[in-house]
Amino acid sequence: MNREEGMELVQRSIDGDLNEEESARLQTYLQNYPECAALLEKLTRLSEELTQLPHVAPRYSLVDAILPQLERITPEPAPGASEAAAVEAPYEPRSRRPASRKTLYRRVAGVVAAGVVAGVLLIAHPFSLLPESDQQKSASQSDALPESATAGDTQADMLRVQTKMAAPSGGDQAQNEANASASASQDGVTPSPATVTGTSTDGGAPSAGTGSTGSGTSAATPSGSAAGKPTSDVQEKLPVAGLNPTTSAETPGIQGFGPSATASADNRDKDAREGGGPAATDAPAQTGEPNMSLAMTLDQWWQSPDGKLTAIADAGGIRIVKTGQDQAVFESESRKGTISDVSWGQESQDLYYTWTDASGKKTDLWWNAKDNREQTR
Amino acid sequence: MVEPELIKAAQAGDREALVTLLREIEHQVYRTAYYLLNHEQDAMDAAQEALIRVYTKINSYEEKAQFRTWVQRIVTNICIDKFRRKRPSVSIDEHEMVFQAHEDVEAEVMSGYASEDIREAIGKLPEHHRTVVVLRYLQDFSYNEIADSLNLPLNTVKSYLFRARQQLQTLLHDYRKGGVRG
Repeated sequence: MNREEGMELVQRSIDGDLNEEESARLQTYLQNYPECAALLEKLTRLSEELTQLPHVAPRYSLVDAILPQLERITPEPAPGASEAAAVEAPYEPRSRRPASRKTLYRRVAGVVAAGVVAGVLLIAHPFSLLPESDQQKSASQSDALPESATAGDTQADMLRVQTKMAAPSGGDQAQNEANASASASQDGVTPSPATVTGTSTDGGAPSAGTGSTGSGTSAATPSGSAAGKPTSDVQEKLPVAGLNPTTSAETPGIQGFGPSATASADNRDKDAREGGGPAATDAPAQTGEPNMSLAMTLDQWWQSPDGKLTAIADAGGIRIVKTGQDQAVFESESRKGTISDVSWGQESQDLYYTWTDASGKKTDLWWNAKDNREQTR
Repeated sequence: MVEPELIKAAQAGDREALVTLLREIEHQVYRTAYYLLNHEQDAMDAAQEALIRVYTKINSYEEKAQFRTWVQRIVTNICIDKFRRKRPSVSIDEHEMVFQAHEDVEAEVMSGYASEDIREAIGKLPEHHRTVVVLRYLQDFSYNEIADSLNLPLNTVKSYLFRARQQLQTLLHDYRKGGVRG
């Protein structure tokens, strides 16, 4: 008997697994290998101690603890052979079971087919998939907007909108709106299929004088408005971004006129380039002002670096208000033309801008808080 | 030993019988979990999970297997999953326990290995060795029953058990000499 066989007998003897013949062989072996006899003694002692390990019990009844959970569970019916095997298979993580390639291909093919069908439907009838209520809302917004669009550029043309800044939790949605808006404005007046959820059926082709149409849903309206840039005087001069503080469902009418105030700087910049609006750095950043109630004209506006003041271009004039309030700190004379190149001084005490009159003549102007008056530069 | 009639009643939809059955296996399930995981709370969690699994899967048990080996298969699978996921860490409680044990080293030498030391040593074994030892000594399973529970060949079970015992002997011997604990 070699050592390996002898050691197996030693181990099996500890478990009482030897027959008489094997026991006799073990005794012979131990006589030849005394060190194995010592080992047997040690292992036997260890085994006895293992046998005497306390039969621990839980501190409380585990069954009582899970009874409420069991009340809600119904034992599963007897499974098929495969499931039974899965339940009982030791050390076999389910993920290791090879999935049938055939099944996988079928699934992938199914997903692809569904995608193709959905795509064809969207292209053929892009808005037929909208809920009816949304389409109705879109129509009602279309009806409402022309009134403001045809109003001209006087104070009476102001569209007074009670705006509420989007709650922080709505930030993602606002961001999405802004992104949709940017993409729509890049596309010009034709909404791309990608913006289908945010654009109305006629948003891309507004008729003169009637302004843009609202979009399908309140959440997606800005993109529709951006794509369907209105043709009235007032709205043509609107930069796509930065016009309105965030609109909410309470103000469906205004949603057609610009993205939310949470539009990213990139989007504002992009829109400014395309719409001739202010640079992104000049664009008001009102994201952090919840519940701001503001009477806002459909003009360009820029918030001061300290956020306290907002400059609003009104045709060729400029108006400075306390941010979030109607109260005007300064109001220039009413004049025709446009305001451009608006920028605040670092201390929020100066505002620099250029007035281009109807004939195209440009005048660089400057307002300072100390004198609270407008001067040429 | 769970009566076959109780199992049949449970499988027939007798909820009371099923709960009674769970009560009968509760301690043996916990014991395995406790010695495999070497942590009381983890053992409670694993044992509860195992009991819930027995409850939900009772109809998948077939008489051709022993009920207790089927139950032990469930609990050992859960425990193995748990300690495979668990990163090695030493809790404050474990630290305290180690210090207390060291203070009593001489007494332990005089009276043989403390059960605490043996439990610690079992916790140092590789997972399969540990499982085999627990089923052998805490559930009093035969080689065949261990093989059924773990779905391992008989010779593999023997090999694991023999090696485990020698490893335990070495671990406990080293500890006695002033050791390798912690």
